[in-house]
Amino acid sequence: MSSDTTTKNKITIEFDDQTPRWFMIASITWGVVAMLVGVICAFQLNFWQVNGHIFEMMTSWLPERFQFKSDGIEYLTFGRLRPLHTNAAIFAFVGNMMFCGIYYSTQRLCNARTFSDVLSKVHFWGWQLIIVGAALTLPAGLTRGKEYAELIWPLNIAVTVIWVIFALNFFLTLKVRREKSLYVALWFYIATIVTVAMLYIVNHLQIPTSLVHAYPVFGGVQDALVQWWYGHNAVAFFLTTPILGIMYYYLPKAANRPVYSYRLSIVHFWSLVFIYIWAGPHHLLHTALPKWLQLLGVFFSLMLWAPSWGGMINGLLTLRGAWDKLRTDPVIKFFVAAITFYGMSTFEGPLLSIRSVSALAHYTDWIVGHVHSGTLGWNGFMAAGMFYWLAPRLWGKPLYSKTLANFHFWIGLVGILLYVASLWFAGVIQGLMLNETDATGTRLVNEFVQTVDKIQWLMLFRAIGGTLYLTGFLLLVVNIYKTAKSGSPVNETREVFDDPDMKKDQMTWGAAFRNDPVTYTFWGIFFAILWIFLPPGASHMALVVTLVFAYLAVKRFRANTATWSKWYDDVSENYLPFTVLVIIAVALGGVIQIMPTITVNRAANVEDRLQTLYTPLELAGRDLYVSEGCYNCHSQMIRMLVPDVLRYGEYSRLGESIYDHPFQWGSKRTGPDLAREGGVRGNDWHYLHMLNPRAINAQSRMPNYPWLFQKEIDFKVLPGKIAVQQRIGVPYPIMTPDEIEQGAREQALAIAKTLVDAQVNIPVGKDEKEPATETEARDHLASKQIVSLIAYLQKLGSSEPVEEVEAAPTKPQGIMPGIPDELRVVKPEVAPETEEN
Amino acid sequence: MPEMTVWQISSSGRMPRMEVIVLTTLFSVLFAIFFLLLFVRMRQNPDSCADQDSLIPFRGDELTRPPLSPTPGELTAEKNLSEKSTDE
Repeated sequence: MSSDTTTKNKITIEFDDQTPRWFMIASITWGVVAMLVGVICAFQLNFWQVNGHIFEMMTSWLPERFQFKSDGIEYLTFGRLRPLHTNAAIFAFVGNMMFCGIYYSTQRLCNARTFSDVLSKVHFWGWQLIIVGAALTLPAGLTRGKEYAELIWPLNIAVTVIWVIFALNFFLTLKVRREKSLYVALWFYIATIVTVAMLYIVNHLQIPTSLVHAYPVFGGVQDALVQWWYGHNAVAFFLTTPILGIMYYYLPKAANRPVYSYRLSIVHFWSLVFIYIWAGPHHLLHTALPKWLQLLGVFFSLMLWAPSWGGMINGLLTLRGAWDKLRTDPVIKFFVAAITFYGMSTFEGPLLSIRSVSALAHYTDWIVGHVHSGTLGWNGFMAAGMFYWLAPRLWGKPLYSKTLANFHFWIGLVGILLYVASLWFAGVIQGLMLNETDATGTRLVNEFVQTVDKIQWLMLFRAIGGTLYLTGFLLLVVNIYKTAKSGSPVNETREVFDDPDMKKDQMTWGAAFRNDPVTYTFWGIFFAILWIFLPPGASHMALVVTLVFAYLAVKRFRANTATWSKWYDDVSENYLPFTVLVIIAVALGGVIQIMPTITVNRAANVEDRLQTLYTPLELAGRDLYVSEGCYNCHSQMIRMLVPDVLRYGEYSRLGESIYDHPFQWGSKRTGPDLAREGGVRGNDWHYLHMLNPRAINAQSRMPNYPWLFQKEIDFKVLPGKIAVQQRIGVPYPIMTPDEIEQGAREQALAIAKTLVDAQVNIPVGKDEKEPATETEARDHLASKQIVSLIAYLQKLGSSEPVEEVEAAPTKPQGIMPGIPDELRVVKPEVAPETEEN
Repeated sequence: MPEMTVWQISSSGRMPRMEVIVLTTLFSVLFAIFFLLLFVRMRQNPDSCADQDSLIPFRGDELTRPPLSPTPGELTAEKNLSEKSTDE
C-alpha cells in the first residue's frame, strides 16, 4: 500500500455514526414487534380463540356493557397477522439491522464518511414510514396476496424510491472512498443492492384498480415463477448476502483477526451470487410448473450447498486461535451460533429441494422450521452479536451486562432449538400421515384434520420456543438501553491521508470485460445453457463443448495465473465494473428462467384444461379471499403425487390458474387444498363454515369470520376491476358497467336464495333490522361479502377441456418447447388400477 | 382425460425414482470438488493482493497490527471500551 506521501493530505474525518445508531434502535424496536406478532400467530395455530375471540372470553366476567362481544376480530386473524409478522421480521427487523451494519462498516472500509447525511436521513425516515404503512395496511386486509410481497402498490413505489436513495448514497460513498480495494463485505452489499432492486421491481409489476388495490401483470404459472424467483431470492439477497457482508466485517473485528481466507471469500461470493438466483423453482416442485424449470431449481439448489458451506467454513475458521473467546465473549458466542445455523439451514435447504424429500416436506411445518432456523438462528443471532459489539462503540461505554447477554444467548438458543425441532417432527409426522394409504395403496387413511390434531402438542412447543426467543430478545433491549443510557452518542473520528492521486476506479470497460477470465466464463456458461435447452443430441454436443471450454479455461488459468489474478485485483479496485459484473451474474439466472414463461404463447400451454373466467361476483369473492390471507393456510395446487390426487382430485393443470392474478398456489397447508373445492359442498356448508368452523368440525383451528356477514359487497368497483383484468390479458367479453353490476347482483341473489332455502342463521348487526320475510332475508344476504366469497369458493376448479391439446400426442406440453416433460407422460404401471391388480 | 404420472411415496408403494437424486448429487459433488480445487489453487497463488485486502477492516486499529494511518479517535474509544461491564 505504498504511495507517494508528498501528494497526501492528512485530514481528520468524523464518521456518521448517528445513522447506524438510529437504524439499530429501529431494528430492535421492530424486532420486538415482529417476534411478538410471530408468537401470537404461533398461539393462533394452537388456539383458534386467539384470533380475537379471546377478548370476549377475557371480558366475560365484566358487567355487560363492558363486555367485548365478537367471535373474532378481522384485524387479528392469522391470515392477516402472518404477512405482518413476515414483513416485519424481514424488512423491519433484518432490514434495519442490515442498514445499521452497512452504514457503519462501509464508512470504515472506505475510510470516508457516508456521502450524504441528508440521503441517510431520508433513507432512515422513509424506511420507517414504509414500515408504519405496512403495519397499518396489512392487518386492514390491504394486501397483494403474494408472500413477502404483500405491501400495496403505493408502498411498493415508496420502497423503490427509498431503495434508490440508499443505493445512491452507498455507491457515491464508494466513489469518494480513500481505500483502493473494495473489501469483500462491500461486494456482498453491492450484490444486495442491485439484486433486490431487480427482484423487487419485476415481482411488483402491477396495474392499480384503486389507491389500495392492484392486480399483478403476471398470472398463473408466470406469477408463480416470478413470485418464487423473488421469494427465494428475498431470502438470498435480503436475508443472506447482506448478513454475509456483515459477517465478513464484524466477525474479524470481534475476533480481532483477519478473515481465514480472503481468497475463499472470492470463490464464495461469486459462486453464491451466481447460483442463488436460479434456485427459486424448488418452491414449486411437483406442481404444474414445467419439469425443466423444476429440475433447474433442484440442480442449482444442490450446488448452492458448496458456496454456502464455503462461507460458513470461512467464518468459523476465522476464529482459529481465538476459540477461547467463545467462553467469555457473548458477541463471539452469537456469531458462532449464527454461522452454525447458517451452515445447518443451507444444508437443509438443498436437502428439501430434492424432489422426493420435497414431496414429503412441502406444505408442512418442516419448511416453516427450516425458514426459522435461518431467520432466528442466522439473522437473529447475527443481529444480536452485531448489536452487542456496536452498542459500546456507538455510545462510548462498555456493554451494560455481559451476564445478561450470555443469558440472552442461552435462552434464545434453547428457544430456537425447541422451535425448530418441534416443527421438524410436526412436518415429518404430518407429511407421513397425509401420505399414508391402506394396503391397496389406493385409499388414504387419515382425514386432514386428524393430521392437524396429531401435531398439536408440537405446535404448542413451537409457540413456547418462540416465546423463549422473544424473552431473550427483550433482555437485549434492556442491555442495549442501559448501555446507551450509561454513555452518550459517539461519532468516531479517524485521521486519514487524503490522496487525490490514488489509482482507483480507473479501469477501462475494455480492460474489465475483454480478457480471458470473462471470455472463458461467458462461453462456458453459454454452452452450458445450450446443453440445458437444446433437444437431445445437440444438447450432448453443447455439453462436450462446455467441458472443452472448462478444460481450456483451467489450462489457461494455470498458465496465466498471475494475469488472471491481476485482472480480479483490478476489478476489485473499480466499483463500477465490479457492479456490472454482479448484475450480469445475477440477471442471467433470472432471465433464463423467466423470459420463456413471459414470452410464451399462454393459450398453447394450458395442457388439457382452460380455466373458466370468474364472474364479476366471483372476482369480488376472490379479492376477498386474497385480502383475508386465506393463501397462508390453504393451497390451490394439487401436486402430481398419489396422496395429493387421492385426497383432492386430479392434479392441477397449467391452464387451470391461467387467469389468476395473483396466483394462489400457496406454500403451506395448515388446512386442506382448495383447488377443486368448487361444487363439492353446498352453499350453506360454506356459510356455516365461515361463520363458525367448529360447527362443521370440532377440531378445526380456523378463525371465525363474523365480519363477512356484516360487511357489504362493493359492486361499484367491479367494472374498474374487470377493465384492469382485461388489460392484463384476461379475456373478458365487452360488458358495460351496468351489465357487470347487474350480473353480480343477480348471482348474489341466486346464492342468497339457496341460503334462505337452507334456513341458515342470519347474524344481524346492531344497526340492522332483522329480516322479517324470506325476500328480505334473501336481499339482506345478497348484499353481504360472505356471498361473494361463497361464489368464489364454488368456482374453484372450474375449467373447460381443450380439445386441440388433448388430441396431441405425448409431445411436450410444458412451456418450453423441445424439453421432454416426463411428468406428463402416461405411466400405466403406477396407476391405481395396476396396484389393485 | 390424460392419465396422471405419480410419485409413490407412501409406505404401501414403490421406491421413489432415483434419477433426480443421482443426477443432482453427482452434479453437486462435482461442483463441490471444482469449488475446492479452485480454492486450493487460489491459496497457492502468491501474486494476488487478496490477503492484504483482508486487513482492510483493521485500518486504524492499534490492537492487531501497526495501523496504516494513525487513529487517535479510535484509540480513545478503545480506552473507554476497556472499562469493565457492570457485572464484572
